[in-house]
Amino acid sequence: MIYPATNSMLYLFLEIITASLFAGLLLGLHRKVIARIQRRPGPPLIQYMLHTLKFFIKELTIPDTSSMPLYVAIALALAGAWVLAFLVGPVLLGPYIIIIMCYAVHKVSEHGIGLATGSPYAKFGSSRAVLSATSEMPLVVAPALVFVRTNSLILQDIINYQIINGSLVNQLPLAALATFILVITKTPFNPFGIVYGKDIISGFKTEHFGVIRGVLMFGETLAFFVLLWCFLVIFFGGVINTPLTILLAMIGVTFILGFICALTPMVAPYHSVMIQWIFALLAIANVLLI
Amino acid sequence: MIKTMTKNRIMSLLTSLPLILGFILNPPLVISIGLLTFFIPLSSYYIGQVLMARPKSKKEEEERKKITFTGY
Repeated sequence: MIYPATNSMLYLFLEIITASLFAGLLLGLHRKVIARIQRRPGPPLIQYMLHTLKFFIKELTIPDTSSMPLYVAIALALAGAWVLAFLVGPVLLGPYIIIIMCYAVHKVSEHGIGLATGSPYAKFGSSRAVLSATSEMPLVVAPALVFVRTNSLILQDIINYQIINGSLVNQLPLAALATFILVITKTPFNPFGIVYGKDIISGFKTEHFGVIRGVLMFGETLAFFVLLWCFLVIFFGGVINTPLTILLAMIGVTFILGFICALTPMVAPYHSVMIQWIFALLAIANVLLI
Repeated sequence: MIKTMTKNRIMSLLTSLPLILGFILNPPLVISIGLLTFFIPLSSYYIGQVLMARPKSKKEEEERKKITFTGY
């Protein structure tokens, strides 16, 4: 086990809070790296965390055009899904398939959040969420290839396999690349972030303010943590398998993500889908060649 | 408005209670995961509703709702 096994609910709760704060710092670092590359001072590292906390004390306005129960529930569902993914993944090293299911809930929530407001701007974001869902091919392909290699989708088994046979990145480099593309898509200001494009204001979140936005941002920080953790542990588990190495690797990957996001313009929606499909097909070719 | 505040306070207490009880009683892992998944977002929503900035009086509320045209 990477993390000390415990069933204490308080321990699990503290793990969630710690991960959320750490991921908030990573996202702050990410913004700082982007700013420094663009020769700006950039916000302080704790800016993302402050931004999230700020929304908890801001006034919540629910648009008249919105479907109120859905407006609230679907945003809470997104945060809940990532709490579950975090507990199943980094804390308990359970089945990877549950994390994929949580990711699917995330995509459905993105769509529902936009639709629930009744606002045309949010609906644009919502339509793009559907389009971006079609580009999530690496999400399905990479675990399938990992299963072919390790005969298991339990994270603990995948790590044990890598400790004996070496990291999976050596055996499935293109699958690792496809998963890395997936991590990029969940980073703010990423080239594939058609859902969050500035041309559609704030995408599906345009009408979400106050505590709902705070809860959404909390879910997204956990999403970033879980996906980054999964990428590192599934493909570099032979080397990166202690809490300290994982945290250091997360900081390193965040730097790389910052460079990518700062230097790459946002691609068109159609190209975003095509590029991710190409990486998924390359990953499949990888397993056929080896 | 006072009614809404009271309702939000009660709801924040009710949704935090399963978490607090869970911390004290230490239920089985599956129940812990279920409680955390469901009640963390829900209780944070209601706690946020209590914490959030609100108009303090009816007059303030009316003032706030006044529409000012700024050229849009």
